Amino acid sequence: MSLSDARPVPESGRPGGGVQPEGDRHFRASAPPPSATTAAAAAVAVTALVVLCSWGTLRSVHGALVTLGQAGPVADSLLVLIGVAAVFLLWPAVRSMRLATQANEILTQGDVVEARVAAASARHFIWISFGYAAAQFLVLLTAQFFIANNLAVSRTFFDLPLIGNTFFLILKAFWINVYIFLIAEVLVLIWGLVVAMARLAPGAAGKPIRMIATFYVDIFRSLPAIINIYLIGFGIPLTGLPIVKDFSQNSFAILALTLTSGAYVAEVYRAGIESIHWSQTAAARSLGLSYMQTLRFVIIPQGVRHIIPPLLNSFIGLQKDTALVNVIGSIDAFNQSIIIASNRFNLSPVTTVAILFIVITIPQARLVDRLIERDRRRMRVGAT
Amino acid sequence: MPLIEIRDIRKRFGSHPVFTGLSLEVDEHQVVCLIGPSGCGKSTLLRCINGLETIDSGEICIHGNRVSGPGIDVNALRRDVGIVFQSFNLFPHMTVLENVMLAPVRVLRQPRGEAEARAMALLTRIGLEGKAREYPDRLSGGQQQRAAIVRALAMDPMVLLLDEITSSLDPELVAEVLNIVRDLAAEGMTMLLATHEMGFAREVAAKVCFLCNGVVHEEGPPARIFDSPTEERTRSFLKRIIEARRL
Amino acid sequence: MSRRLLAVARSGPLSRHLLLTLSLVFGLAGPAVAAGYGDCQVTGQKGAYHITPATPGQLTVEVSLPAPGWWNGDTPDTIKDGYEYCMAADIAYRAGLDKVAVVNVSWAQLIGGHTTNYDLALSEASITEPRKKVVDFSIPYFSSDIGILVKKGTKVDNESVKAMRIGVHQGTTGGDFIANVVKPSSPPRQYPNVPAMMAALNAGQIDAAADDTAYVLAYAAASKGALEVGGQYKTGESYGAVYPKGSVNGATFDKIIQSMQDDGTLEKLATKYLAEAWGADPTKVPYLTP
Repeated sequence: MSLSDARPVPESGRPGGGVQPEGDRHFRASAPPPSATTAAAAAVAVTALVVLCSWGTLRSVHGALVTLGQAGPVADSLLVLIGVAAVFLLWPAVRSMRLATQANEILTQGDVVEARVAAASARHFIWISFGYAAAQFLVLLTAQFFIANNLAVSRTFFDLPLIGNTFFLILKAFWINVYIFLIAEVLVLIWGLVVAMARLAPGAAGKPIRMIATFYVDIFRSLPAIINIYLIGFGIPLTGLPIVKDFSQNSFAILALTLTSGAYVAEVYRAGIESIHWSQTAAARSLGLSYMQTLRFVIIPQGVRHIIPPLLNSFIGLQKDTALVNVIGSIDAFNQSIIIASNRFNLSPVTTVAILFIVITIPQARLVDRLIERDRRRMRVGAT
Repeated sequence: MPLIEIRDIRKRFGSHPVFTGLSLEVDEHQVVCLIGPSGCGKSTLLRCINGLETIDSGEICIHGNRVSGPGIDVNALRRDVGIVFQSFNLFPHMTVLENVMLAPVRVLRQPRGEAEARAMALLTRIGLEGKAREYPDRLSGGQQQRAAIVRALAMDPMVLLLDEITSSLDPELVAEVLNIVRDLAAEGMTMLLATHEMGFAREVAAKVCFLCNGVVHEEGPPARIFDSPTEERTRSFLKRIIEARRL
Repeated sequence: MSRRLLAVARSGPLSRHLLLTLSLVFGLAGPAVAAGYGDCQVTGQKGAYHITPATPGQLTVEVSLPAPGWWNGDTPDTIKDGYEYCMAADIAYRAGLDKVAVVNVSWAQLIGGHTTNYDLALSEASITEPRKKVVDFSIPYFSSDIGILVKKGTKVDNESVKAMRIGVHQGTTGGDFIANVVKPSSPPRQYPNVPAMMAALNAGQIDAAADDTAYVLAYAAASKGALEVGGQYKTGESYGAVYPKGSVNGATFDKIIQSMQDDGTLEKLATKYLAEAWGADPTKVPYLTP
């Protein structure tokens, strides 16, 4: 009995054999296309709705500008231009409708291939319509967020003159944040590696070290960073230990952040080290390299390359945590912005701090993307 | 006195026995091949010799000195016993030259200039001097394996263990690796090979050992083992190899 | 101020003589304005009292910023006036010190008695029995009433307040007062700083914000009519300056503060910086009973 006998026998009762019975099976991909007209109609409806919402929002924006006293010929013509541009959203939807009806016509004439081409094209434009409609809608929502409730959000958070006036004051205070995280980052890189190696200390002699390291990591990952800053910033001066109690608030912040972030970074290092296949350790040890030499020359250099994205995430978090130093009294950018906000009865200075953090974070993210790409190209090896 | 003496070793992985009283000897300048079905412990045996794995009982001696069990300076052992792996295991973050130089510089404490000169000499000998400053990912499988052999040779070992070093290679790349092994054998390097390359074993080995059920089931000169094995299991193993046209 | 004097001094020999005469006349008694006192008009007799300052030549004062109306300025170095700043300036003047140095500290550290190296702290700190156990207070210098800030038009009386969602400033006695004495039907919401509390009020997340009357009058004024102070409570508490534990100057400072009370200086400061500045008179706000 050959393989083809295993297929179900057709109703006509023909016995199995090498040849396929005709009419029972046909190439599925050659079937006529389903109609795209309903989807196209939906696309047209949705895009039309979004265009109407756009015009509505533009009217509200105009009203807001009038309230702010900023309305004028330039602003008005800009709004009209945007309104006209918004209508272009309809074009892909309308096109898709035309193609869908075309496809149906061609189908009735019998040319399945051409119909499929037209239907595929119609669906392509339907997806484009929905995509851009969604994007445009998000832009509208953002605009509404700013002008809703008589410009409440804009007034509270985006008082531009106030932001401009106090920008340099906050920038000066931002130096405290930068100073803290630059030093903390270096310390965390070193301390995290030490703790990771402690967690991996081998043998029976290593067990107490592993236990202490695990305990430290568990505690400091459990405690919120703000509590750590309190404990260290208030607790250490209370001990009255000679030199340590006189450290500045910023030094305590660096210490607290190093210990907190170090716990997370240690785990990241450990994951990186353990991600290196054991065959690398086997090869290195087989050459006579000691445990420490293997770590130093073979495992850690490779492990670190793998963990650059999570390390960067950790650092970006650390940079934000520097704002917590305000709880021990240091006047960093955030604290300064709250002081100004209290004095001027407006939260816009806080937006300045937000802008500063965005400005420093995005370039770092792009830089590391590049570093990873360059290193990945070099590291593609078959050996595992 | 044989260079390597393995006496009645036993080992279990959990409840699964690996060696049940295995004994084996390798004389100086001798090339011995280990054959046997997958999972019979060829790789494990090699790793026990250089201390990557431990044995539960029995003894392994090199040059009369016990090298298994407690109290052994395992780093010193590995300076004299080289091993080459099936998956090459080159260090991908270093160039080929750095791969070869790493252990001589860090373990043997050779000055960098001297280590580099010796490494380049070895690489030239096997025809890889052009790739010395490339990273391993730019080399073919055969070139990587040859580099791995050179890396082991750079430590000037007494014994070379070769763990199925051609099993990961495309057929057309196998020859260049085997050529090196042939040259090393001609120069008198003591080698213990785990291999599936029966034709090569027949040509180069002084002794072939068939591992099965945790012991050396049969051993002898290649001609006898391949052409007229005495044990039933050896025969059935070789029959399957022949059926697959590998012998 | 000094720049203007400098300009006068440069303008010619006659002006310089005039300046010299004027400074001799005013240097001995009466109001004087000097570089170490911001824009404050200090009163009283210079050097009438003697203290041992933590840092020689200056009065080191701690405060937990921000505190608009009490300390006006965006950074410790740029504070120019305010009730407590000018009070400190006056104390410095009467103690014969030419400069007020302002140090910002966190509130928790200050009221917990964990800060060091200062002479006194003026930070609208209410005197309470539990706090007296950890810090030393001066005699009271201001009676702290708690004002209820609401959106304009909200009805505020003894009953309606209890039904409101009230926001308070974390860690202040005002917060305790609202929670334990006024006892609204839902517990008051705690905010880490005043701007956050005001944002919540504007957003309608709370119906009322409770804080020192002077404070909330300031916010009402700044809101341009959107917010108003509907009522206030007498808490029976007063502010006191905080002294470092075991300070030798405590008694002397008390005497200085007493003298400022007796000669009306403190009342003038309140009028100038807490009422006139905000265009509202705290005494006109109706009192509620809890």
